[in-house]
Amino acid sequence: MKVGRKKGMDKILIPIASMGDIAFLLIIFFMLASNFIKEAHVDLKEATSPDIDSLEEVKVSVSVDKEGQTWLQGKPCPVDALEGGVSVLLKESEKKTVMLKVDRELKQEVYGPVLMALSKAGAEIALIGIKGDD
Amino acid sequence: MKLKKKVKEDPEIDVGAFSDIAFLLIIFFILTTTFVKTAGGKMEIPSGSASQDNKQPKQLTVNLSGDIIQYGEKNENLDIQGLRDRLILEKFAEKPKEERIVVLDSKNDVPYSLYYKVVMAISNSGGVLALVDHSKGGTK
Repeated sequence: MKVGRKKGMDKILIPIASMGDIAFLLIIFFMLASNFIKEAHVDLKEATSPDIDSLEEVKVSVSVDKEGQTWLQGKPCPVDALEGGVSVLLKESEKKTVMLKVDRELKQEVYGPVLMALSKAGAEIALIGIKGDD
Repeated sequence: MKLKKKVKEDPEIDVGAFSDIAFLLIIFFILTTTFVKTAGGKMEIPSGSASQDNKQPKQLTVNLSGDIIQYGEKNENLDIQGLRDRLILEKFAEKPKEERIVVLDSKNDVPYSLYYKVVMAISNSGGVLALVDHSKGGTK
């Protein structure tokens, strides 16, 4: 027996014409809101402490990797040139805070001069780490 | 002679696949994005510098050597939790800035993991750090 299509059961069409526009708006939002990490390539293990809280992101960042190499804004920078480099960046920035990441295994003879250079540059040092105990 | 009129067709670009591409891009962004939460603490360092000769007798000192933490004038050996307890007893929050200074003398063999814990414990208790600059033999 041939069953006929019931009257009134027309194909339901969902209007999807504006989906593309919404998708592009989402992409534009992601692209504008994203901040790319400048120091993703720097190889270091962060130190831990239970006494830290979340910090707001700052523009100037200094890292010391596990080899003892110093990086300013993701670019290699010798310790001797750090004071001058940070001073220039701080002049351009409203905030005087510098984010400092140091490999947890490094000894004071390596990170000590970095701290002194930042201090001499007039930076407010924010030591970055991971919240918690070892 | 009658020329055939060319039928002009409106040029149309097929944009049907655009939304598919856009959604693929969104899925890519969502899957590859990692949200970084920055955690840390600010080091409060007093302005200016002074030589060790000018060090005030009331300043609290913490000496670090290797994995050892020595506290106060008697160089009492403490672990990190012991240091936190002692710093809380100092009640820095009730003191003026000049009396909140903690002189941190760190030897060359101190690992950053220990240094970081000590600095954050001092900052968290309200202490103001004074770092000893061994390169010139004074405090900063």
